Amino acid sequence: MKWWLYIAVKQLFPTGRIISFFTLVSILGVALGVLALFGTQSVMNGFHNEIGVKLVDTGGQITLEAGGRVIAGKNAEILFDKLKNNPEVERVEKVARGSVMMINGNTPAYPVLRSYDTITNNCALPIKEKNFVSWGDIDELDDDSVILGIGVANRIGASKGDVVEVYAPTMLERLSKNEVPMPVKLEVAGFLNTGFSDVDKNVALVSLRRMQDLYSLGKGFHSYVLKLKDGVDETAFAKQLNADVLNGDVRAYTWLTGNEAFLRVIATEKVMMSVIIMLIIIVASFSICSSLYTTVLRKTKEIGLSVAMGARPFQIALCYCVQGFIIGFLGALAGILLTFLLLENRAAIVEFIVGRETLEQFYHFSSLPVLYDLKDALRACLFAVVLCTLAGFLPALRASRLKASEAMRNE
Amino acid sequence: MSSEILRIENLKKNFKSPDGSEIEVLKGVDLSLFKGESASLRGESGAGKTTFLNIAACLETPSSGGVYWDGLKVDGLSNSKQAKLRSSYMGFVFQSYCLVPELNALENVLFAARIAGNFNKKTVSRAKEILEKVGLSGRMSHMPHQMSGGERQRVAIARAILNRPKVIFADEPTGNLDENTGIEVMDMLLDLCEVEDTALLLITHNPDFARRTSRNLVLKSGRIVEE
Repeated sequence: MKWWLYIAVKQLFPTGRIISFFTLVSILGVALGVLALFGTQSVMNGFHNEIGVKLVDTGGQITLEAGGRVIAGKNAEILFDKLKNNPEVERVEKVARGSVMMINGNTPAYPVLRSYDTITNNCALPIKEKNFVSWGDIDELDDDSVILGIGVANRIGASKGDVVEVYAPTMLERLSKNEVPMPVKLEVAGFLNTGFSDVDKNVALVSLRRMQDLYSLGKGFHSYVLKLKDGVDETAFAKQLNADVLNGDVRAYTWLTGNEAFLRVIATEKVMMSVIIMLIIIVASFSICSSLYTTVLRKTKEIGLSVAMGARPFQIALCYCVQGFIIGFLGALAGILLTFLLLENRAAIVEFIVGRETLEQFYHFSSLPVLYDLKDALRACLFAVVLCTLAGFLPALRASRLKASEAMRNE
Repeated sequence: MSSEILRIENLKKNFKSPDGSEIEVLKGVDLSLFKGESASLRGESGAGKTTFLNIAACLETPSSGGVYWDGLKVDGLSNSKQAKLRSSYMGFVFQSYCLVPELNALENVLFAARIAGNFNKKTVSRAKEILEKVGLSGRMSHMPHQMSGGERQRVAIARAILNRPKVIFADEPTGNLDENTGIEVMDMLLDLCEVEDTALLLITHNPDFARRTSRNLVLKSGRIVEE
């Protein structure tokens, strides 16, 4: 081992002691910074990923719409067949959706009704696979029943078997003809519980035929929703559809485009939080710089002696730069380990700090999602190591410029 | 006649005082030091003893004159070559011991070998042997703060001798020690230099210690005179 590396290690981890106080505090400071940075990034990744999964699960991967117009007629069926036979498409579903007023007793709610094709049971959403329906089954849904989002049901106090009254906006036409619009009565067949509270609080499922009837769509619908086979690039697929298959009336867009603003907010939030948290590591590196500088001043005579014994100035500099590097490296490593430790026990910590309700209310999740990204970990470590090494640079420069003759006279 | 190791010719050193005037500390010093020879250098405080030692050890540059090691003029060499020269030709013992507090006694001695780039099993055994010779066989794993001043200085002497230098520069090695311990340390230093056939240049204020070396030099008015 080179002498400068040996002395650097010995100054951090002296003989007879496991670790020096300065080393311990410095490593902890860096570790906390890396913990804050990597931890926040992992949680933000988790949010992003979880929201992405929920958005796809509840809205579909790719949607084809005709600019708000009803899609109907022979061309609609031809397009449906084309999409169904596309080798990259796993499932395609005709979807109709729209707002209604729903009343249970005298309690109203204004959910969005989404259709489910009860004849073909063909759905682009993983309602069955992920057991989104509780206290019932999606197969129990027929033209006279409804599956309420769990939040909707809670709002109007509906239980399974209750009959709710539904008023659609199209009923207003009857009023203009002096007819009294009669509500459609639907029996609650179960509850939709996707875990994405935005959907659970605002959506109810009815059969496609019932939706077509409520909105006077005839055989028409509002959109096609597609689920692609695993590994298919959805953005490229949508682009290809728009270019090669669709005419100008119907346009395809992915869930990423449909929720662009929302996703961009999360991405921006991650960047902003990372930048703010990086300050912690910068502060830690300043402390390391200050402490190493003090060490250099304290060890002036030892440095002078090293030079007298044959040490070169660059070796003296390396000795202190390496100390910064070692602190940064060990701090980064400890920070990553602490992040895993903390995030793997996040349920109890989140419950203790903010409570589960806050998480559900503002972030739509019942538990804190986390996604570890190796690139984030490497970036956080690299940032810490580079900063700490730079923190050692100034003291190193001072040490390397010490003249042995003056250092030995130093009192 | 032993071979000459160090020769200093007409060495002059000037310093600038705070008021800008030049102070001539060394006014043409000449000295030769031979293999295995011991010499003491005395002089009043501020006479330039340490400055002389620093220049001889290539730690400071002279204003004029020459420093020759084994006949080679070294005061104009690169820093790297001077560093190499110091690690292989010279050993140092200072008044304030200058041990590395994070290393134990044995590690402190071996520090000299690490810097010189010859740390190996042989140097480890030699370090142990020297520590035994200076009476510290039972203190090898002790840290500097666990040792007395005399013990620390013995470690410093062992460190200075480890690389088999041609000259040991000892600058007031007993300055921080009581009289008896000072005598013990001096005995040890002189014995080791004799056994290892190493020349010694001892800077001291103590005339008794000075008398124990083969040559007694005094730095007076910027020049060395032999007593």
